[in-house]
Amino acid sequence: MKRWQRKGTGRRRVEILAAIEDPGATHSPATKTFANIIELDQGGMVVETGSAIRVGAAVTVRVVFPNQSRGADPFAHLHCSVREMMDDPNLHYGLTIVEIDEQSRERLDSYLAQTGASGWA
Amino acid sequence: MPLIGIDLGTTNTVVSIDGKIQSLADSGRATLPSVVAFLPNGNRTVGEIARRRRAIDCPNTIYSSKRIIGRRFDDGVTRSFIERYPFDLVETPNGGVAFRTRAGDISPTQVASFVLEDVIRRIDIDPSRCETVITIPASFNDAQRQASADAAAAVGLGYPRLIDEASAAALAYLHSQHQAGTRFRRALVYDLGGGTFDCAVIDCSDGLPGMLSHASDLQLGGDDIDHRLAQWVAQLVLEKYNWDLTNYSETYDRLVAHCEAAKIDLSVFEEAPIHLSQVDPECPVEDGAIVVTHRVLDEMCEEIVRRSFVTCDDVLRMAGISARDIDAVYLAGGTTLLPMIQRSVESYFGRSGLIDFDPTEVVALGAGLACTVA
Repeated sequence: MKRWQRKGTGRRRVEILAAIEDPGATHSPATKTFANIIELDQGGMVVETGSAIRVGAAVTVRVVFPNQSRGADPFAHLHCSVREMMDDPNLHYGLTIVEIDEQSRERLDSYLAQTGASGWA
Repeated sequence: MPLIGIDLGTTNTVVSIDGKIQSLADSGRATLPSVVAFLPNGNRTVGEIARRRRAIDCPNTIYSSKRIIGRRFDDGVTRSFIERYPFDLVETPNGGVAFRTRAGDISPTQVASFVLEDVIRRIDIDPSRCETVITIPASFNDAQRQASADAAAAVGLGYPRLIDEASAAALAYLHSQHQAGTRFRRALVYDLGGGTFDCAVIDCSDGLPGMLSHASDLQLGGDDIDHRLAQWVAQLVLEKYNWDLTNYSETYDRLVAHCEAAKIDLSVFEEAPIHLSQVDPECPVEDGAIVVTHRVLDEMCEEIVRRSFVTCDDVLRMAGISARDIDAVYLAGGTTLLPMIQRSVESYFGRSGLIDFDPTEVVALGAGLACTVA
């Protein structure tokens, strides 16, 4: 299993439920699947998915970070590129965040500050 | 020849080799979740990664299958299992039960063998060149014993000795007390695990556990606390926010899993939050988390504790003694880590339960010692 290299003190492992949507997918791989975010940083994440997703696909990760349920729309929307398969047998993928709106960035930063996560290499 | 003791538990599996508990999880923990996940890519995974997959792929992530190992499909226990757990269970041609997964129909015996296979891989032993003892609840019937033995045989462990969990726990305690020079006349094992409760009165007078009486409740364990807590949270959310967390079995199963985590946290912390966004991201709850306190958990445990003491009453009656005649109470099973359980045991027996070992490990330790006892 590969591990992403990190600067600084290391990224905190997490366990956050998310939904991943791949609008470009046909029925297989799935257009929508649940996933666990198991590592997270300002630049991306490692996810394990309920169904396979396509390496190279542009996907949206929809997530409510713990302690951020307030408000009409508590979701953070992280537009990502599926960079690589990190752990083939267990369907772990590395995702790079390529686009993020201001509110979602605030939510992500706030959560990372709370958990003590650091930046990508 | 290595001596292997395996506690093949409903929730977790623990292993000792030559009297030492082994690290089974990548994190170094001794407990390996007894969970098997069948992935869309055809792979199978066991343990912590499988446990996490319960949140995202629950029909294909099998846990608590020991509750129905060796049972028939038309058994009342199987029926209540079907009602409570989010699995698609089917009847096999011989009247048994199997989980319908994307990998095909998988029997509880196969689930147990997959867990054992993973254990063997993790501890890196040649299963044909070791002596193995596997623990089972004392009240397992012949079919359940046979199914457990078949699971071991399927992974090359031959047909290992099966001993009951209470005797294994007693053996570990007696061995330790013998070394410390402590002697008790009669002890009672109170073993409350994830899915079963075992209770036994043990004659300790000659240094080896002589079982005077025993009984099990095969449908009583920490799982039941998780489900009660989940029902409480679901009711609270329904009343306060008009949002039903029980509508979808996958959502409700995530709630049960988070309740289990909260329960474990309460063994150490004063309170534990359940983040509803992690249960159902659509749940419109303004304050985000339901906080579980000891008071709430104690309420959820009450009936479970009461039921366990009904079994204790039976065991004491069969042995012809009262609770006050017990010199020591040996605690085993992860659920006995809950402060409420320990307080209740103290109140019932008039003495604190002994917790000389990690109660999640003591049965596997005793199983390993049993390898050396004829």
